[in-house]
Parts: sequence; C-alpha cells; structure tokens
Amino acid sequence: MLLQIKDLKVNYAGLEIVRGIDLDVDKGECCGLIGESGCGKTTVGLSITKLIPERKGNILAGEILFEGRDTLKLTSEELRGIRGKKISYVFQEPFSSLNPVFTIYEQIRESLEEKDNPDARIADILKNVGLEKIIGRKNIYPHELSGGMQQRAMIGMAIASRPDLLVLDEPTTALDVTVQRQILELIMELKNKMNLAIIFISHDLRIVFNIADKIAIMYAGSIIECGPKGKIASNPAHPYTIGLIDSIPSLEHRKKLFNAIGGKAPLFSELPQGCKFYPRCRFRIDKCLEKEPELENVSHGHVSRCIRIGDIVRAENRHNLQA
Amino acid sequence: MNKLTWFGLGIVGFFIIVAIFAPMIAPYNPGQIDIENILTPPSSSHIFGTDSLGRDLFSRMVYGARISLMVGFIAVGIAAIIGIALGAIAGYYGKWVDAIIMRFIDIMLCFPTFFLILAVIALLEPSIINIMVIIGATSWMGIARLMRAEILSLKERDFIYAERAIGASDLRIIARHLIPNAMAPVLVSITLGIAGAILVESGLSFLGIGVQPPTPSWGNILSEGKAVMGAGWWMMLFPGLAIFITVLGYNLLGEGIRENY
Amino acid sequence: MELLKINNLYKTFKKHRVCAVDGASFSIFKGEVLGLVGESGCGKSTLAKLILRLIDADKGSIFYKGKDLLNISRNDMRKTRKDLQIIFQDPYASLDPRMKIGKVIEEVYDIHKNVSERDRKSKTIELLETVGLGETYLNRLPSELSGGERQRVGIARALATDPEFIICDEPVSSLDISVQAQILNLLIELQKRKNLTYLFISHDLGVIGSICDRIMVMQSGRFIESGSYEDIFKNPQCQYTRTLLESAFLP
Repeated sequence: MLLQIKDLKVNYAGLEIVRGIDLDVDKGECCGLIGESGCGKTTVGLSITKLIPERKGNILAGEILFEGRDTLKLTSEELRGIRGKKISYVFQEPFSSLNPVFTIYEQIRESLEEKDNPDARIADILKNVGLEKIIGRKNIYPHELSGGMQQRAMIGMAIASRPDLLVLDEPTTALDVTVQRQILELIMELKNKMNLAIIFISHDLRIVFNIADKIAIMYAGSIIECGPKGKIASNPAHPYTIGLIDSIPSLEHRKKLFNAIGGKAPLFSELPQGCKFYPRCRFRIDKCLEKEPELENVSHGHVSRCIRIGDIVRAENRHNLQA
Repeated sequence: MNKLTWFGLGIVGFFIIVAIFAPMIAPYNPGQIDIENILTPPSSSHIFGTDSLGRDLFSRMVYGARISLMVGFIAVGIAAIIGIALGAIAGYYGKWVDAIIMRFIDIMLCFPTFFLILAVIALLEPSIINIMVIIGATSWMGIARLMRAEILSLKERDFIYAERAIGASDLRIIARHLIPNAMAPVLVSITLGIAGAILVESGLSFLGIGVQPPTPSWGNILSEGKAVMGAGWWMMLFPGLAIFITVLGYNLLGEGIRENY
Repeated sequence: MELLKINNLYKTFKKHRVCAVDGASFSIFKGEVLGLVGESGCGKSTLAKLILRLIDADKGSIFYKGKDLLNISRNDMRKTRKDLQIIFQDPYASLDPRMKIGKVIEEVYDIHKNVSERDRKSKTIELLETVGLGETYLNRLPSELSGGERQRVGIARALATDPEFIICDEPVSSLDISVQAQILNLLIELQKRKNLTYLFISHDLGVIGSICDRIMVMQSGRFIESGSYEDIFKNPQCQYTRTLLESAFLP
C-alpha cells in the first residue's frame, strides 16, 4: 500500500473538522474523495504533507504512512523532500496557483527532479499534458494561456518530479464542461502511463464516477461510506450516498421532482448526537441517536457508517448507474 | 481592534467630552480679565497658568477645544456631503457625468489649498463659519474619489442588478445600497480629514486670519503665546500639545478603522 | 401564447471589443421552461441582463405584451419590471450584505406598493415559507445563511412582485449537489403551481435536460442550435452540441 491514512483527526479554527479518517491508496489507483463544501475533504488532502497553515489548524492524532513512513512525524526538512517531489498537488484555481511573474517554462523547470538537460525534459512534459503548442516557447506567461491550458501547465508541474502520489483538489471545478472533460481524460492517461496513485477530491459525483476506482464519501468530518466505484454506484449503502446519487440530474427523471436530501449540513460547532446524518435521514430510527455508528462491512471492500445497512439495501431498489 | 486604535479612540473621546462639558470643566470664565495676575506660571489656582491679559489658560483651552473640534467636525461634514454625493453620482452614472465631475476634481486638486483658503479669507471676513465652509469646500476631493472607486466595483455586483430588476429607483439604489456598502474607506478618510481640518484651523488662527480673539481657539492661543514666548512658555506648550495629541488620536483611529475593514 | 419576442438583439462591450450577444432572435411562450446552454463567456448572462434592460442593448427589440421594452419610458419600464424577474447565480453576491432578510422582501413591497403597509410583514413571512424558510429568518443577515438558504431568499425576492416570467441565471451552479436538487425541486414546484415561464440558463446540460421543454445552445454570442428537448438530446445537429453532450457525463 502506497499511502495509508489511519484515524486522522484535525483541528481547524478550534473545531475538530476531520474526525477520524481511514483511507488507503495503492499504486496506480484513483481514489475519489467526495463531500460537500465544508465537510473537511480539502483538509484531509492538505494533511498528507502537513500543509495546513499552522496558525489555523493542527493535526490532533493519527498516522499517515507514505511508503511505510509516517509523514506526520517527519521534520520539515524531510517533508520538503516529499512535497512536490513524491507527492504533488493540483488545486482548483489554476490562475491563482501559478506565479504570474514567472514563465511557464521557468515554473516547470523549478519542479524538475533532475536539473540537467531541462529543455528536453520540459518538452516531454509539455507533450504529455497536451501543451505541444508552447514547446520551445520559453517566454510564455500564465496569463497568456486559457484556463484549461493553465490547468494543464499545473498538472505538468505536478508530474515534472515523477511523483508517486497526486492529490487533485477539485482540479476541474473552475473549468468549462468541455475543457473539464479533456483534463479528466489527461489525468486518466497520465495515471495509466506513470502508474500514479491519485486522490481526487471533488464535490461532483458525476466526475468521480467517471474517473475513480474507489470512492470515499465524507460527511461532517468523517467517511460515511467507502468502496469500489461499481459497488457505490449500483449498491449505495448509506442514506447520504443514496441522497447524493438521487440529487444528480437525470434524464430518466425528467420534469419530476428530485428525491433530494432535506435540511442542510450541520455546523461543526453544533454537531448532532449519535449519527451525524440523523436530522436529514429518511431511514432514521431512534436507535441512531444512541451513538455514532462505526464503519461496518457491506461486502468485500465496501463499508458504510449506518446501523440500518441491511434495511437500506433492500428498501432501495436503485436503478443501475452506468459510470 | 488593536491597542493603538483603542488609544486613539480614547483621545478622541476624551476631547469630545471636554468640549461638550466645557462650562462644567472650566474653573474660570475664559474671557475674564485679571490685570493683577498677568502671565503667572502654572500653579494650583491656575493649573496651566494665565495669559498676557490674566485670563485662565486652562479654561481658555477647554473652550478652545470646543471651537477646534467644531471646526473639524463641521468642515469635514461639509466635505463628506459634497464628496460622497459627487463621488456616488460620478461612479453610478459614469460616461459624461463621470467625466465632468472627475475633471472638476482634477481642477480643484490643482489649487494650492492653503493659499486658496488664505485668499478667500482675505476677501471675506475671517469668521468661524467662513472658515468651516472654506475648509470643507476645499477638502472633499479625496472622499469623492474613494466613493467613486468603491461604487464602480459595487455597481457591477449582482445585488445591484437585482435592485434594478425589482424596479428600485436610482436614488434608492444609490442611497440605500451603494453608499452604505461603500462607506468603510470613506470613513477612514473622514477620520483622517478631521485631523487635517483641525490643523488647518490652527494654522489659520495662528496666522491671525482664523478664529478671531477674544473667542479662544488652540491656534490663536498659540499665536498669542508666540508674542510672549520668552516670558510665558506655558502659553505655547499646552495648546501645541493639545493640537498634537488630538491629531494623533484621529490618525490612530483612522488607521484602526482601515485595518478592521 | 407568445410572452416575449426578442428580435436581433446586439451588444458589444467597447472595453473588451467583443460582441457579447450577436444578433439574438427568439420567442418565449407562456408557461414553458426554455433552456439556454453554453460555456462561460458565450454571452448567456449578458443576454439575460439585456432582456430585463439591466444593461442597454446596442440594437434590437424585445416585445412584451405588444410593447417594445427598449422603446418605452423609464417609468413604464419600472412598472413592467414587476412581471419580469431574475434569479442570479452567486447567492453570495446577489444579496446586499447589510440588509436583513425580511427587509430584502419588504423593499419590493415598498417599491411597488402591491401589498398594504399592514399586511407586509405577514406577506413576507408567507413568502419566506413558500421558499422553505420561515419567520426565524426575518432578522438575519445574508452572512448568517448558507448558500442554499441565500438562493431561497433570492427566489423569494423574485416572487415578491408576483411575476409572470423569471430568468434563472445559473441558479444552482454554485451550490452543492444535494442543495442543488433542493433548489431545483423548489423551482419546478413553483413553476407548476404558479404557471410561471422560465428562461433557464446553465452550463450544465444535465440540469437543462432534466427540467427544460425547449433548449437553445449558445456559442460566442450566437445561437448555434435550438429545438425541443428531444431534438437536442436525441438528435443534435451541430458538432458543438454533440461535444457538450459528450462532456456532460449524463448518467
């Protein structure tokens, strides 16, 4: 296993917003981390190399084993050797992630793992990320590229050091749909070519169903369901996941009301007793209030944090989502 | 808010209270002449000493605070009304309205303000009202520019489009939605402007063309002190300190507001 | 019945020297949900603002009940605004940050005097309840609300004039998926109950496909294809429409 996150707990602005996360990612595997805004998914991504701003948050407990070493115990010197080298990040806004006063060429060169003969290597990277157009043009600045091309450049910088793990935090959210599609195809292609492990953080189930091998769904700071893509799509075993899937606009349900989740996500300052999804759940019973459920096996490799797993799977005869 | 801002607020509040309650705070009538006690140094009966006519300096300073602050507030009030109105109109309507107002501001900024004031006062008579109006009428340009800049960005926000979509009139949009949301930087400018106006008033009074004796203002007390500098150091020290501390207070407060928005 | 007829509408932004809307002509019929799909910068939001005269068109005409909206007095236009409303994309930008929720609605009544002074408060509460909020929201500020709640306030404000036609300009694009479904439900219900007419603008063909009767596809300021839901989804004619469909991850 390349990366193992064990019982990660993170405090942010005085509140525990990551409340015990376990997640494994293997070489060549794409793990989708799904959740709505403010559920803690970005914090999980940042924690992997301790990128959380120190004044605001701190990691309370847990282990993050990367190639067997706990990154949380590394010195900042050692972390710098991993960050941007073995573990690379791509964030949502390409334009604010790129430095406007340096050329694309300079920025990619900075990320190279070996500095000799950079031109050939940079040309190779640009070709890999579909930026053949600017090969050999060393004076191109970020603002001269479109949003999609900027994101390609960001991905180029991320893979320049031949990383093992890529953390993508909403990499396509700021892009147009047609460009989004191209970027996702690029990510898939690179994953296969470089045998990359990917953590793909997103709020959009449709995208994750297309790109991920494994999906973890977060709600209020913990994972409430995790499993292989096919199982989550065809056989979701948590009421929240079911609600999310039902919220996807679908042509079969044209002009009909969505079977939407009611209410809104709780604030971390006022989390409910017992199951955190209880107030919005359509399957709730009094027993759910007793204590927060543990993750339980649904089938091999598929877990759900719901005490009514059996009833739900039977109650909901879901139409099969083709991913 | 940081400590310095509180300190500034404290100074400003202190002088405002002194000005409001002047009759209760002043131990003597500020105009009461006492030939027997000319230029006595600070003592227990006259804590700031007396001036060249034997008047109690402390009482004159307390009443002077009234004049200085009043000039500061009203002059900047006039500047704020002109600046906010013209800035908002220029920013909201744009095009030729904006062009005319902005060129007018450019012209106003070309005049050396202090000499303009000197010239106008020389033509009119140097009364408190004239001074307030003339300071106000020559110091609104910064406020207008700030207001315009804020409104230019605010008017493209969706909530302004929404107001227009529900049929709100221009006046309602400007007065109820744009100006209140644009006030933060203007407030900073106003606070700093009060300090500036107090300085200008002191300067004019010091030159003898501001507030006219026997009405006490910090500036003209300072001016009287200049004549007797060798014999009565207190006549220059206390009004000078008062002006310095007040201006410092408004500047600290202004900086504090700027940082908190 | 034809509710709005738009003829040859043009708009160029001088500063950027781009033609944002390049000759738009179409009709909107009473009670339909007309979808407008396109990517960012294609001119769809500009078109929305042109139709409501929130920005001025360079040329063209917009007929509403026999009147050309581009050729009536400001006063007439202000009265007509009652019938034509808009819901914006970003619920964080579409509410005055200093205005309490109750006041947002009451202001509409204040402008149009369509509700007596005495009934204003009860009407405001009733309207907030219609959109799934309630009396407890009257004295809250936008900053205390979630994105979904703010969007509901935006919808309530649009409904306060009792309009016939609402432009929904990407009303769910900045919302989380579960909230998006809630808001779409609300819009669908309102449309049926009040027989509203929508111009529904979105970049998301999934959303467009699930609620629109007719669809127009826009690219670089022009309509490149328009037709019924079946035409566009089952038998697209333009390459660009096909690309959009392929990119939309329709499950």
